[in-house]
Amino acid sequence: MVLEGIMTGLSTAFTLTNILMVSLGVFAGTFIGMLPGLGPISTIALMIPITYGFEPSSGLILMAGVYYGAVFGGSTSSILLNTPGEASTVATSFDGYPLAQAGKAGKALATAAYSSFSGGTIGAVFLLLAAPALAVVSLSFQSADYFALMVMGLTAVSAFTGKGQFLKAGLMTVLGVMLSTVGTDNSTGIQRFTLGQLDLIDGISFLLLAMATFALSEALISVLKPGETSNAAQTAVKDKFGSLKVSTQEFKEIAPSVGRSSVLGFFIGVLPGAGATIASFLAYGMEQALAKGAAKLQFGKGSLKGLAAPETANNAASTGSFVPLLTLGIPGSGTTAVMLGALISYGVQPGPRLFAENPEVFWSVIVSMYLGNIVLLVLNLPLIPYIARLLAVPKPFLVPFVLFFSLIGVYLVSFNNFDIYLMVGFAACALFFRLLDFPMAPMLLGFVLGGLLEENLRRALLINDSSLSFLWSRPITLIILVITAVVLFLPLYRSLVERFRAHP
Amino acid sequence: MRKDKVGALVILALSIVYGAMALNIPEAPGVEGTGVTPSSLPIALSATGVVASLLILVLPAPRRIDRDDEDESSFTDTFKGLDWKCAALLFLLMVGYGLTLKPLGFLISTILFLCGGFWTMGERRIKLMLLVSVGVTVGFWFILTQLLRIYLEPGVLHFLGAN
Repeated sequence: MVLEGIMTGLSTAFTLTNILMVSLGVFAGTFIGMLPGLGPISTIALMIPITYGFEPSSGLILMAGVYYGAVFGGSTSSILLNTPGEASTVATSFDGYPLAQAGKAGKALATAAYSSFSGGTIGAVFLLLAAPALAVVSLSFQSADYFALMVMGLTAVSAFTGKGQFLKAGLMTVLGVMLSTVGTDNSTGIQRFTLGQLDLIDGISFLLLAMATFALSEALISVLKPGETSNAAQTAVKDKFGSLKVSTQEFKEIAPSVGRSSVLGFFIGVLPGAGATIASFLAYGMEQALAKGAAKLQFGKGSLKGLAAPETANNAASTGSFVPLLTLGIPGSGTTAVMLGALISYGVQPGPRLFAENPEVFWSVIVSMYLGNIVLLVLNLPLIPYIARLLAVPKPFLVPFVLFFSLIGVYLVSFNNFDIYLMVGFAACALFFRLLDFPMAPMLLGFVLGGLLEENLRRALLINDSSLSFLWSRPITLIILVITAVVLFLPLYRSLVERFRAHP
Repeated sequence: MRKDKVGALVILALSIVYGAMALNIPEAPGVEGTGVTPSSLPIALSATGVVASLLILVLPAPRRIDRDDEDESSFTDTFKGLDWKCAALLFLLMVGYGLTLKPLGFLISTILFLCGGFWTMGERRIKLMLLVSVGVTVGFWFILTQLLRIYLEPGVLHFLGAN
């Protein structure tokens, strides 16, 4: 059955139009993802309006390309400029930037591309095996289980955000769920929090919120904190890239790291929470711990292993994070939340029913993710020295363009000026919270899951005669809730202990 | 004041206002007798927001993962030395763009917005600014209206009669 599925996926993906789409997506993704400050979330959000008129499968395939391109683009700016676009490529810069400074930028980029490719490929194989199995299991899930899963997802995203960030991430999640309650209540038709504004009756659009809190505020942060990125970019691009070749010896050296990091990355990616970031740091730590002698000292000074491990892990984790999205319809991270937004905009609702009713869409997503990986390696890598010249686009031109494309992207969906003002307002709030180090991704995830959370709670109560006993009457629900409790209280406990230890 | 406390204070205020509004959501029978009214979730959210933000306000600072010292950076330090003027001007430009998009039409308002943005960001080569903004705007307009057949307000350029 898996084989049959792959064939369906292949026949959808391998048409001239779709190969063109994925190539276009990879280029656009690399292009935008490379710009300092703009991460994959902004990149995908910026591309959604452009693909509105597309056929679902073509749109999805383009998005898969954009996704991989954006991740690779982020690595490029981490390696060349030491300016990671987002947290998951921070570990890439540890060894990537020293390599670039030593005149081996080409080798570093090539290693990153090969590692990403391997991580993505191994991840895709796991996805092929895990997703259908999980999709079958999840068909038996009821509202109570979904409710429990969403509570777990929301808790996990805060718990994995980082030490000492737990409460802040939790607050942002709550804020996101609050925003999702604005508009007409689906089951009763009663308007909530619309402040008497007609424009808010339908609620806040996901795209608007994502663009305002990511693309707009990321661009504006770069204005507020004028760094030297522009100059650094000029020199990085003018400098020699060095050869893009990686020797057989070097391949042999990094191969075990790539293997280990792929497996680690994939499984961490499947867990809800900030998958790719944690995976990349863990893989880096693991390789550093495993390395011996001179190789160990090399870490942080331009070790190829130190570059390959996080790159592999973050791509494998990105692929892994599609497991809960495709099988349960629940995004586990900010990036998959935006992907969910994109899927829904093509009229595709991921979840167990997608696998049962539209297997061709399910499979073409998986196959196109793999295709995105290949295009990245075959087309993008040789061109990267030329694409990197874009890094030298002066900021005075760059920022207004990002603002323009964000605003017009949302405007073209609704043709409503109110949306522009709302975006400006959200961008200002996001800017404020970003400066205070409050994370934005949990807010976006809370917003996406908020509506589903309420709906499933209601359905569960309805089925269960308004009794809360649904929380413990089914073993699956109970297990998920117990895990949630552990995920919630462990970091909370640690956070409290740390705060008190800091102030005895 | 510690900067995470400032954020927590703002969210505390938001949660209280949100909670007050939640209490004023018109009464509706629980959906088909489930007891979950439209205000149930909002009230729970507001309570969670209040508790979590109060926790941040009363607890000492956490240790930072990336540094050995505590995260005691203050609110005023964080907001000092930033290029507020430039950011504020860009905000004004965005609002202005929203205001002019319909009356002036897509082409003119976009060119004005882009040029204003370039100027705010410190670009002074007028010819280059015009070339870039007019080029991109007209190109984008062409793709949208001519190729994708999306209607854009012509505004004062209605004589172009596009679409």
